[in-house]
Amino acid sequence: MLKVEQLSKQIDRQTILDGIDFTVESGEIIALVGRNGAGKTTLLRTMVGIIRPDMGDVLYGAKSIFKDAGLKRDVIFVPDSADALKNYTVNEATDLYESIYPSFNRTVFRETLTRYNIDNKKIRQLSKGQKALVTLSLAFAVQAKYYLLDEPTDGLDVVAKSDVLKLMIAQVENRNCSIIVSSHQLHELERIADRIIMIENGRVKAILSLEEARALSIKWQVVFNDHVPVELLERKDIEIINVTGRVVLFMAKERTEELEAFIDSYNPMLIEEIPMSLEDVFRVQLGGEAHAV
Amino acid sequence: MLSKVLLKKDWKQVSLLWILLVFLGVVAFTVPAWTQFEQFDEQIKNARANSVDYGIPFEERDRLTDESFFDLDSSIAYYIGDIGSVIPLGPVVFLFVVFSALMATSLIGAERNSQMSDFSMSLPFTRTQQYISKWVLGASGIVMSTLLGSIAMFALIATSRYSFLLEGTVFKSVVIVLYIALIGISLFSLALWMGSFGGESISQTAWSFVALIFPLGIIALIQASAYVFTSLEGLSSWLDSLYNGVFIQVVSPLGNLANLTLYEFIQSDQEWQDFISISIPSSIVFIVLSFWLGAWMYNRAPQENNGRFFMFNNWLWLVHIIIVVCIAMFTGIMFTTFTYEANSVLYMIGFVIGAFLAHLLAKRLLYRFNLRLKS
Repeated sequence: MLKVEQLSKQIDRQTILDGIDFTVESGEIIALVGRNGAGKTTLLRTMVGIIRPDMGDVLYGAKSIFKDAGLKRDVIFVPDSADALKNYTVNEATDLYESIYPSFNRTVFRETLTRYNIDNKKIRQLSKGQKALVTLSLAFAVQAKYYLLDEPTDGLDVVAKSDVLKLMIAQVENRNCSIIVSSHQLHELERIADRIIMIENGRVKAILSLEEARALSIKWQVVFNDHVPVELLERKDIEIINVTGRVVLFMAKERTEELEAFIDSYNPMLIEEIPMSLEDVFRVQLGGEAHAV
Repeated sequence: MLSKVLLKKDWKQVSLLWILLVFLGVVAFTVPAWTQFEQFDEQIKNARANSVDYGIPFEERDRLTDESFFDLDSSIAYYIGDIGSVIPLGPVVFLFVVFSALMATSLIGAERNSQMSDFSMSLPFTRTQQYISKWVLGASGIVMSTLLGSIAMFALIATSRYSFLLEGTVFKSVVIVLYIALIGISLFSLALWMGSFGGESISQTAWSFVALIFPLGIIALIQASAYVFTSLEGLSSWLDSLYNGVFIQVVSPLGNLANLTLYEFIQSDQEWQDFISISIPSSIVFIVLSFWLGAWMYNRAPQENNGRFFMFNNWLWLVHIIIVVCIAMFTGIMFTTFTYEANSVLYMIGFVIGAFLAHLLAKRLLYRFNLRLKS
């Protein structure tokens, strides 16, 4: 089990991480979501021991990553770019990984390369999608217990994204490893994540399953008899997505009786609850103050 | 503690420089030695042609051998030199200064510039292991360069017309070569240590340069300032003694080199004893100290400050003060050159102006520029 305990970090007198606390069980895929600058990358870098926290600890089993560098044999961090290995050829990078990690499975890695038709070139000469596949394949061939992935699908085309996601799911299914993935590609996380950790201003805002996240907020399409009431458009606790004639589509951070009563008081013709996507949840929960359009 | 895997990873970063250093080491040891032989030839030819000008009695001119010009006890007043003149201390040390900075920068600064540093820190090795690997690679380059270069140089001397220079001086020559290697390793250790001061390549190079000249530089600045104020004569003469003392040889490879005159070591037993008992141990102490401090700081350097001019934010105030004081003293000294005699009023005016300008510079360099580099 991975346990992040009260992790705090200040950089340039700004609090980047503020008492972050959560656990990750074996076989879980955790989506780390938050706006730019929320502290996701710093959290991942701290979890692998690159950055030392001001307070708190990261425990893998009973051991602290900051006291036992050997733990990192089972914790692989994949940053958002393959810059670190750009001067290596694919074969050189394979040799390097094989010498660092005794559990590295060359056959598994070769299979991935063959499947995606990746040649033995310098990594900097590969396309962005190929780079991502190579770095992820290298990481997964290590057969580690924990993977910390920072924006693994950032900038990839649809096919490459899908391949990366398949790789991740296959790992968890085959080896029961844990993956903590930070990404802005919420519709993809939605397909694979077991739980979502929402980070806001360096704090954990919520830890939820996907169902819980969806149930947290509401997305309603309401058709009024006459026109959309101005009082509704002026409410600060909702986010208006669209207004077309008598029809309004909006989201609210939470379902409240007061809001339901408010809508009912206008005797609308129709109230339809639209399923929330993770992107909707993110937008309404972390998107800042609601605004009318 | 030393990991083969880390050596392999670091070798990839520095292999080209390492090989180039070894190759240029051979060049730096042999070409100046060969040039020195040519110079000896010229000097001997001149001395023979104009023997009277060189204090050689006319009747002795024809029976002089080349060897006589290198013998202090011979009757010839004109003495050319000894094996110390052939060992190319200057060129080799210059090579080591340049390559120490380049290799150390490739091993730490360049990593901090890219994501390689994060990659290294995420590997299952301690930071101390990583530092040791980097140090061993750089130090081995200097050792190999010295070894191959000096073998080539000794072979060149032994097969030359000046092979007699090695008679009775082989041990001393080998020890001097060993000393050159120690100075090279000192310079590399210093440059590698500075990899924890600067957050990227250029700042690491800048800090290495500052660290190289700092001990001698600060003494020179204080001493020159003390000259201006007659009441500080005692301080001035104390600093004078510091130049030739053990302390400066321990804390500065340049200070160690400044106290070296190869001619005196070969000829004077007393100087030789001092060299053996002070210069060489000082060099070893410096290597141990700079390695230990480097490893300690590499361990503690906040990784989140990679890309910055200075890694340790908590110490910025101290660096700020040092920059201001040094530049203020320097400006003060410059102002005193306006008059023939040292003028303390001009010094103070220069000091205040220098301090103000240095304060602005330090603010820009350490705070604004520091943050801009990061972003």
